Amino acid sequence: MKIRQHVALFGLACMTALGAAHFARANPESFRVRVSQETVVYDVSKEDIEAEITFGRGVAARIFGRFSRYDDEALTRYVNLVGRNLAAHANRPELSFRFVVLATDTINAYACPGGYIFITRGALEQMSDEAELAGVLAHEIAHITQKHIVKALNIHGEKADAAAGISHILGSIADPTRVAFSQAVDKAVDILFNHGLDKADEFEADRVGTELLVLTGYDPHALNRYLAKISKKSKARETISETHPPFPERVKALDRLISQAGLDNIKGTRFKERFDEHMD
Amino acid sequence: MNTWTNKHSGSVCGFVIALAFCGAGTALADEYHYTNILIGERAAGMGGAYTAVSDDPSGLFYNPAGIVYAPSSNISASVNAYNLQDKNYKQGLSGLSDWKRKSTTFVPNFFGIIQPVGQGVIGFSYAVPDSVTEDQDLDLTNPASGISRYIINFNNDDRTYKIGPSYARAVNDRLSVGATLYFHYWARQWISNQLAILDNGSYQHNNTYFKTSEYGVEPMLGMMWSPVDKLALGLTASKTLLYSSSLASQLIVRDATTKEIAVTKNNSSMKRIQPLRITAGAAYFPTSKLLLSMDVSHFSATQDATFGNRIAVTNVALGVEYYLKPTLALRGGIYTDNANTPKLLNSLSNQREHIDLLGLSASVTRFTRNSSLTLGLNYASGDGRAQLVGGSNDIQNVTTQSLTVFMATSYNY
Repeated sequence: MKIRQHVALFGLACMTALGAAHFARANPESFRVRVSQETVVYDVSKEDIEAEITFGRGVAARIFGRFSRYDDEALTRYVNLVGRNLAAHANRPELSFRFVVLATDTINAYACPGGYIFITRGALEQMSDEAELAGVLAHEIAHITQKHIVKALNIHGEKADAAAGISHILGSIADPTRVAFSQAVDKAVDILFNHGLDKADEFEADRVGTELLVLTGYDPHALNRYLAKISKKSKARETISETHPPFPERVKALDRLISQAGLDNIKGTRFKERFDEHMD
Repeated sequence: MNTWTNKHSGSVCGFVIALAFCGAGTALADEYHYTNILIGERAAGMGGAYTAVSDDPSGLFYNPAGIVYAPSSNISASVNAYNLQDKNYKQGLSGLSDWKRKSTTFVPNFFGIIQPVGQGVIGFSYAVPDSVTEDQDLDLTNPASGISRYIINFNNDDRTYKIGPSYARAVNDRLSVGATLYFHYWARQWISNQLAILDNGSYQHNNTYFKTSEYGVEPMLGMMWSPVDKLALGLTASKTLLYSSSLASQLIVRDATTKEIAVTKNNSSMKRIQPLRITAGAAYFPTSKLLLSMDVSHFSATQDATFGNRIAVTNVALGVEYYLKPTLALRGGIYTDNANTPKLLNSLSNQREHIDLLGLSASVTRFTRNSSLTLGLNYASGDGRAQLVGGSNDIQNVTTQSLTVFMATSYNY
């Protein structure tokens, strides 16, 4: 076959395909997804993601109602750098994670759906190095990647099943739905500050957070070391113990994870000097 | 190689040192076939049936239109391959002994990276679709009547490189188009030393040296269309356009009878005529665990008075991918790799070998959150016929087999 015939054949095929494509009914971006990719590809709808972000923003606003932002731009930038580096290794690429330092001596950290994470100045003061900061942030990121509050409150987007939880409320502008939205935010704030999540969720956040630490290259013991340290602080016991499982149980579970997963031998980084520079 | 070389090497050597001709009419890395080392992490495990899949960096090589459908925004992939080839010319040494050629080569044969930019996706890739390193040291005692000892030292390095950018974009939800522009470089160096010590004490010595290089570009146009749910069709067209070529040879013969030494040198800048390649592929994605694919590639015939005519070739490849679980996938494939040379006729001499190959492939991939690691095998074998001796009508039967072990990684970020 001559070259001209080949070119003509190829051109004809292209034109046929272009014309036929107008009438096509298929979504290659959907059916091409392999089962191995489902962990990194959104497993929820765009509406669900938007709902989660909107909801998380509402919860974050309530937190700003309780605490003011700690006014240290360099420290905030540093915490965001550490946090976003961790988030890059998490399986929620559709979210933009944001990290805020709260001006309070309380020792705690909070994760809102949609990627909004808060850490108190009091918690930062208890830390010895960047790895411990990363450990706490990784624990909070894990709450978001595992959708603990989203699942607890059944947050869905507009197109979700109408019978499910507070579905539809985020797509509506009617007053009843605003009230329902506000009530759901109240519940989330109540979870964060008073009743806490299920114990299983907290243990899972410890586990996933520690795995995230290892993936990012930090010392795998950092979160455990921090928990063991603040368990001796009465200020921490007063706040964190109300919403989390007892410290000894968490430390013991993490010890077991580190041992069973063979993380003992991993020499992750701690970056003490860099942390101290930003805390001065 | 080429007719020009055949004439010179064949006429000087005579029948005693038959292998002086072998550089011209035979090949391991292999201008007589179009599928030598399979490229790509998934594609190599699926027998190269990837034109309608191509939704990862391997698509830069198979069908650039497919990279529009890559599942992650930024992906890089690399493949390293260890290739063994074995070819046995039955009674190739003076009609008595078999002549065996072997090649082992370890080559990083693919790297690709893709990234969305604006409305499209750009990519850059590097591929080595053909690579051979032969290093042979043969010492035979009484291999033929009248010859007491026959020594062959033989070295051959032969590689084809492709490197270049790609761009693709979606035309609509179901149709995409793309293009790759490869810079093409082929380099080959062949050195053969042969010494035949005859029973009467005299000896004949042949030294043959070839050096070939060519430069060109290979534009590839591709499109990907999904006419119905779960089905993708791919189509590509490509052709290598050479803008520079050089071939230098030197043949030194010390004749056993006359004891004279003859030196023949030649240079040439003639360019090989390359075929147009058109590949059509279909891929069926029934579930997120199973993928079936098929490619049909057609290479046009070429009329090349200098380097020899090539016949039209059609190759078929079938591939399957199955996920045992989300972190573990198996792949398999079968493919043809037919010779682009005419079948040998008993009445002619200086004919190029003709061997049709059939290949099998298999691989296993382990996935983590952002990366994958693949270990795979390609095996191809075939029987055919060749003419080792220049100017002779003798034809040798040839069996060949090739095994490639490849390890590949990809990373999305």
